[in-house]
Amino acid sequence: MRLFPSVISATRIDFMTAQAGMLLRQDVAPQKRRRNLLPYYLALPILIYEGVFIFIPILQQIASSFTSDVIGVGNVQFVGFENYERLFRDAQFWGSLRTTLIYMICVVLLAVGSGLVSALLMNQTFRFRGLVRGAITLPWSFPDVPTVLVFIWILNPSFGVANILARLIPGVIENPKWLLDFNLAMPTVIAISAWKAFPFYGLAILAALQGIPGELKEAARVDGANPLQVFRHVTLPSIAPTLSLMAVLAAIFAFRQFALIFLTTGGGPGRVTETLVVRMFNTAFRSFDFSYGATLGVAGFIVALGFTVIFVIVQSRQSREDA
Amino acid sequence: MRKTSKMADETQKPSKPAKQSLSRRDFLKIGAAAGAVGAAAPLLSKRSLVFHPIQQISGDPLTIKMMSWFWQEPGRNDAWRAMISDFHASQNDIRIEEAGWAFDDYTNNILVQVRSGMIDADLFTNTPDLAVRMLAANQMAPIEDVVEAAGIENLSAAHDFLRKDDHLYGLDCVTVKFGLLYNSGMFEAAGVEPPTTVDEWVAGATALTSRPDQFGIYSPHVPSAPEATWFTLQEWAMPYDGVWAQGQTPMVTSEPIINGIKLFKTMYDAAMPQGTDEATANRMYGLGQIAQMLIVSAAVNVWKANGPDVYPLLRSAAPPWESKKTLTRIHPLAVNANAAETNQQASKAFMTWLFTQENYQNLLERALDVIPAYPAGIRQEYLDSLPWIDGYTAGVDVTPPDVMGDFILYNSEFGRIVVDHLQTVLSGGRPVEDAMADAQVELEALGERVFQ
Repeated sequence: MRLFPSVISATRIDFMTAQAGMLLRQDVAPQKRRRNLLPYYLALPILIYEGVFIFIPILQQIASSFTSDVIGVGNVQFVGFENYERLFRDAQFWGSLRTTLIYMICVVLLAVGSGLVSALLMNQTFRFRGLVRGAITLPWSFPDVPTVLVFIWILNPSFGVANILARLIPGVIENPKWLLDFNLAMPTVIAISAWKAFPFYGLAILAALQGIPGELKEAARVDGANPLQVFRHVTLPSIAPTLSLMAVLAAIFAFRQFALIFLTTGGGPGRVTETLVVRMFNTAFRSFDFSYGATLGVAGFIVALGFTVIFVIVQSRQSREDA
Repeated sequence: MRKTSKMADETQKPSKPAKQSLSRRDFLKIGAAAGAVGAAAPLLSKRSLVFHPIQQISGDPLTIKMMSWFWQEPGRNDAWRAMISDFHASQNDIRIEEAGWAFDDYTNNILVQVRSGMIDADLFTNTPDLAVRMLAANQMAPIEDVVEAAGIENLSAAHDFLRKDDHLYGLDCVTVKFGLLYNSGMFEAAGVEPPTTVDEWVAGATALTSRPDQFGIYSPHVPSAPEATWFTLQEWAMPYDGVWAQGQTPMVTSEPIINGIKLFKTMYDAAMPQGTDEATANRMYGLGQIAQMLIVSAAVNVWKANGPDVYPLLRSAAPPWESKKTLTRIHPLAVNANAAETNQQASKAFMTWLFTQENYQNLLERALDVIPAYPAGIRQEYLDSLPWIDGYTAGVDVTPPDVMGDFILYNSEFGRIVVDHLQTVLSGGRPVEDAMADAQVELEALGERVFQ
């Protein structure tokens, strides 16, 4: 949300920029032409980097998906669309896509939801607020590997401390096999992922909360709104663009999540936590079926591209609203 | 990798600093002279053929890279570093540099390197199934001249699968054999005798279990470690003489395999610390919280290095089943066929030195290994001094190719499918027969795809 002065400032700046541009075009055209090359020079390193390390591997991966190549055995052969036919017939691919969607939706809801709650808490005034803000961001700052190690020990069915809490639940008489149980593994992995990610969303939402003018809330209170109504009619609409952006970002991060899932369950037990990214890795580097792994990679790339397009649309819409 | 190399440099303290790379002039000198020596090969003795090209040509040492998981394995890394230190002290022409990854990542990374063009090392160690794959992919150089130069006689029959077109492509540098390694202190305290039958084994493991403080047995099983699970699970078919595949036919629905997995499930329910990863289990074993493991002989060295309290108590029992069949895995050291010719020659020179009787005996004793590549490679006095060896020597050798048929070339893929379905048995409550029927379907599909 922007107030009028900001809009006026932006319009003035646009006007001044246009004026300056016209002046430059009229008076210093040769210099301008030379100077205009500078952005291209500046962009060149990143373009080269992206070309070498991103676009060429993507093209190679697409090319590999049209071959038959089990690593370390035999020669690479061109097989046309055979891998794609296999992909559409592969129930495990569709299973992993479903697992990915379930994981993604749950992580987005839990992580952004927890982020919102923590942001609302951190936005209150209380003693040691700075300390609490620092502490609440800790999960995000922990590297993945130690996080997973700690959780594996906490959740160990034989001697993990989580069992003490679980046994307090009426009806629980045995230690839950958190990461081994077919029904518990996915919720456990989702909970770990959301715990790790929520501080990031919390901080972003906190920044949005602090951008809401106090006058708006004050006006709502003067009009007789209770705290819930203030939240519903003032706070939530004000932070809605940030929330939608965070939700799309969380979806992209969750879709790409590999380390946490791979280190906690490797995609198991069975394949209940095998998301598309994990399946891609397992196929290429555990089953050494490189070509089919590349085909899964192309499928994943297309799905990720869809999310990125949504992200760009949401972001540009937000920019337009801001303007 | 850089870190391990640095560690090696610090540990080995070579008499001359190793040169990281050859100058163009050195390279041309070595290349030209190697060619000349090669042409004059018939005039030289076979022993010098392996060694002299490097020695005669250049005053600077040539650094060759040895890729292995050994550098990450407690006990074994010390043994190998000591051997390399001795090798460096014995001559000034060749320096060995460490490279590689931990065992669980090793095969993956080697295969990725092969896919990327070539293995980034001059020498590399192999698991049995990786060796088969590397042989098929022409990554190994023939090394029968090393056998001759080192004076090796009666090379073990376990090397037969490393022979192709009258050439030998690898020399075993550690043979590991599965056995029942137990903590004799815990057995005595519980009044349990080493088992002689499967029933006694289950009863003993159950009696030794007192959750959550003490467990009768451990075998890898967590979903995040399918490689480790499969590595040991293959042995669980041995009590019933099972084979996982015959030729190109998967056999996971056969009665011996079903019984083997049922036995695993029984032990899992009765006596294992469920959900415990291998690293934690090893620590528990070292602390006397796990009584026994069905584990390879090479692991004993880890306990000697990392479990000084438990090591004196370790004993092995003969496989508690009638046939006494047990998986025996040889790990060949091979020369990279794609390495530069000079580096191949230097690699062979190192292998020749390493496999010469006295040095090889030293290697086995330092690494606490008990199965030599050739009979004279081990001293009887050394074997007699090991209190934990009896059970291991009582086992009857079966090799991975014996139990995996043609699928040995696709061992990891096969194992991944079996382990996925094993988990539905362990935690999903599925009957073994149903789970293995599903696995059989997937394995047959794998067979159709890879053997077409």
